[in-house]
Amino acid sequence: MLEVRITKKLPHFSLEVDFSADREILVLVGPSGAGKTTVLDCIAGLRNPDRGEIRLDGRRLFSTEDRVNVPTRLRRIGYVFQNYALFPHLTVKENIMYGIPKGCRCSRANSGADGGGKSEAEARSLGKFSVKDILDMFKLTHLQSAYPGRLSGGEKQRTALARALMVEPELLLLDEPLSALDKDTRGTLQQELKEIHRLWKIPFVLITHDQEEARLLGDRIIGLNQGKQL
Amino acid sequence: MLEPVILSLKVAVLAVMIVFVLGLLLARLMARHEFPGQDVLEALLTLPLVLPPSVVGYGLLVLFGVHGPLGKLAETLFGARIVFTWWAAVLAATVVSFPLMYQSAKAAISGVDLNLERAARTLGAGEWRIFATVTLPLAWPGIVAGLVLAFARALGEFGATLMIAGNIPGQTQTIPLAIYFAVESGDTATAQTLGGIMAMFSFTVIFGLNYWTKWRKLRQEGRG
Repeated sequence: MLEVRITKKLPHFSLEVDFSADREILVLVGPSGAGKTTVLDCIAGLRNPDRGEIRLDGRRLFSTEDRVNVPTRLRRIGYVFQNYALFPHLTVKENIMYGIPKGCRCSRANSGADGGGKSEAEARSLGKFSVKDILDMFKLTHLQSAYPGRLSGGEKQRTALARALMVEPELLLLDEPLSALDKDTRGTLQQELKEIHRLWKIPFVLITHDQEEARLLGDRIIGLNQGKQL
Repeated sequence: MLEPVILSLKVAVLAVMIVFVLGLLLARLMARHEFPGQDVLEALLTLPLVLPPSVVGYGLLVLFGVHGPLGKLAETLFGARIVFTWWAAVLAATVVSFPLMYQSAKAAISGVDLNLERAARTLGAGEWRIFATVTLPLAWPGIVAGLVLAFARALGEFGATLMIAGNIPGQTQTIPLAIYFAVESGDTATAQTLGGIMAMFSFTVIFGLNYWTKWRKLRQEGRG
């Protein structure tokens, strides 16, 4: 459960949002410049709100009242950036493995090897997806040694998703995940996103400027304009 | 004749090692943070590039001389003086070559997409890990270019070295000094040989750097 109640002054208006998201896909929809990305940045801890509180599963991540501000790297929040922000000097596999702490790599690889017979849901409940599982699931196995520069838009998107989910986040943020893709890829990825959400059972907060996309993807939709919730 | 060559290399290598660490740290600080007085610091860090070496040398002499504040500090800390020893030559080479490394490294670090560092942060990486695994590898070509230029500059340092280290054969007489004093005493053979070594070396450095940059670009295009 994600609870957000924040205000932040931006150059042209002030941002005020108050919402919560359970294990659902929450879509924030609004025109560009409405403050959508700022909301995601505040949740991830990349920018600080002026006032308010952010909680995730009861954990307080940010609170002006109690002067809490958990650093980004400890928040356990996955973030898929608008331009994917894949590391261009690392292969697909290295990108996906970036978030796994060094000490965990071996044990995960092993558990993945002997967990081969389990269903995905069982594996998830144990909190253990190996890199191999993830590469399979996101159809990236044949691309694991490729560099991001060689990937198509859809492949980049899947790599970015896989990388964000590999660290087992408690929340996933997606900034315009489909806007850079062509129509066909977009349709496929919409289905895939819903499927992934069903598997992971964590809240997804997705932002888009496309009303149609919001309707297709969102379990719940919140409009945002000039920093105000509609 | 070999003595100045070895001394020059020793001085330049040590100076560049210091410049590498200092330049990288300061470049990262200046490229990724904002703080009051930043513009003043920026100007100060680049100053040795535009000041005449004799002014740099005189400044260092005032600071590190036997009666200078830093000279006295070194005396109490290490019980040794710096001026007119080969450490002074290292100091002069460090100061004049620093801006070249610093400017290149800063431009290279600024050129790394901030979103990549932000992405690494959301993946649980701490600031040092981000610097070592994202910023540094992506800024590497610019950093290497700065390093090579700084090395060439350190090797060719003359004015400031003469002021603060003097011309002591075997101790502070680097190639450029040896050339100057060889010409002055009419020893054209030595001057020509050392001059030839310097010219060849500098040519190789610039040629090699350009070649490497081109090769890297081709390889990068091959990747994607």
